[in-house]
Amino acid sequence: MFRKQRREARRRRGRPIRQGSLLEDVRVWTRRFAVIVMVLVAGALIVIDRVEAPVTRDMRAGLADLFAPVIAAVSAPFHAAAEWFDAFESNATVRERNAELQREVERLRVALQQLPALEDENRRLRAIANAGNRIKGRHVTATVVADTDGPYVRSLLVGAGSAEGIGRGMAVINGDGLVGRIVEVGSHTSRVLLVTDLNSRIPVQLAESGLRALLAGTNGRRMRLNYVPPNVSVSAGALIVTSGHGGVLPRGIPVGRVDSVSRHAILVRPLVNWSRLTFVRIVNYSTTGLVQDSPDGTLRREVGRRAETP
Amino acid sequence: MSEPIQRAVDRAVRRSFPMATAVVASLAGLIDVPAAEYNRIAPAFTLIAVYCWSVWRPDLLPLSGVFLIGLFEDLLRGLPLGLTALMLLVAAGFVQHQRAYIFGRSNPFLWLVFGLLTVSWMAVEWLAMSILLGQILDPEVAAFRYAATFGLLPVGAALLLAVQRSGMQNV
Repeated sequence: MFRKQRREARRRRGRPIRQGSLLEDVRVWTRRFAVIVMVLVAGALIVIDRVEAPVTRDMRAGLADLFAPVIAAVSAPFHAAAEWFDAFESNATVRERNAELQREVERLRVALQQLPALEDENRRLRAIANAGNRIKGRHVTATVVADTDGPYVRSLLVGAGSAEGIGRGMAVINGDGLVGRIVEVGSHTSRVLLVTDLNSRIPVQLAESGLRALLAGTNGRRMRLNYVPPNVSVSAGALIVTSGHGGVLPRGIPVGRVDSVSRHAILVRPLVNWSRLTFVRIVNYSTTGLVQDSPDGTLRREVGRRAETP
Repeated sequence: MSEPIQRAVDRAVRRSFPMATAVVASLAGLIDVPAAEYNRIAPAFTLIAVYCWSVWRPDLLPLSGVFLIGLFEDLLRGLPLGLTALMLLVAAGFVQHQRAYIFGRSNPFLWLVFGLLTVSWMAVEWLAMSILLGQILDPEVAAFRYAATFGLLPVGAALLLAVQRSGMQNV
């Protein structure tokens, strides 16, 4: 790479092999032993991490807290550049978008007129079903600090942690829909497992038919809709929302739209635009109504505890 | 501060450049570039830094340091803890062991060796993640990541060479 070092290397090649001293031997063996220890430690860590030990979770969260400001500062120019490119739109694009937005406003006006009637109908149906299942809780807005997305793990760091009342399992949403859920919590940062991650499993339902299924991440651009009965027809474009089953996520959050339907798989495209994800809202919710049905106090206590979590 | 102490501190700082640049490379992989799918195919910056320093100055890049950088990256990126540490350790160990055959050769030869190392890296990473996640993952991502990492070596090496030339003479 550079001449001086090349010359030195040539000179070294010409030298006779020096017999190693005892000290040199000891040093070599110590080095080898250290390498073996490190390999074993790495293997052990992989196994420990697989069982999701709290200690590794805390270590990750602590380190993310420490480096989040640095990563955010370095990422800032890239975001500024992206915004600049966004602003650089042609007149034709702006005109086209304006027309599109006007059509959207008209459509929403019509929908808005129907809203009171739908709300009333919804209230009456809930009363009939005695469901009493409603979402309450508070929202925390957080900035996306770092996109720790990789080829095999799809996650990001957000700038809110336990100090802001964030807890594991909380839903993370933005204006488009469900982004993911909190899996690690530090003091001022949290890690969000995205809905597209391979480990993500979300109980969902089709917004129109109410058909329940499980949405699984694939690490790719689309997610897979699992456990759909074979005799049910699902059409492309159908909206998928969270079903709220399992008590992990609130009900009714839009997640994606059916992209393609084949004999082997139903693929869903997420609603969230990942490249424009700057702010998210973290939902701390509690589900009431389940408590009354519990024969003993166990569930009441569990739900109550979740509701009390700040 | 007396002059000998100043000189010792200055030397220590300069000798820490390889480790420092490897940490910076690790952080560079976390930069949030708002471009679609960038992060899925982002180059393995740390591998580039570790490879270059393992060839040029292995005395300033101890394997224990490489191991710690790997752990640091695993913790920060949410990867299985120990995986990158193990892979970086093996990669650095291999390069340092074979350094006599690599060092002082032409740039295309260095690039070729890096290409072989990166192919092995991506294949092992893909295989390990497929095993850990319990299903065969899309190899396309690994292929794109390989191309990005391999293609970036000249740029990364030039930057690190500038660091070496400007601040690491006679250390």
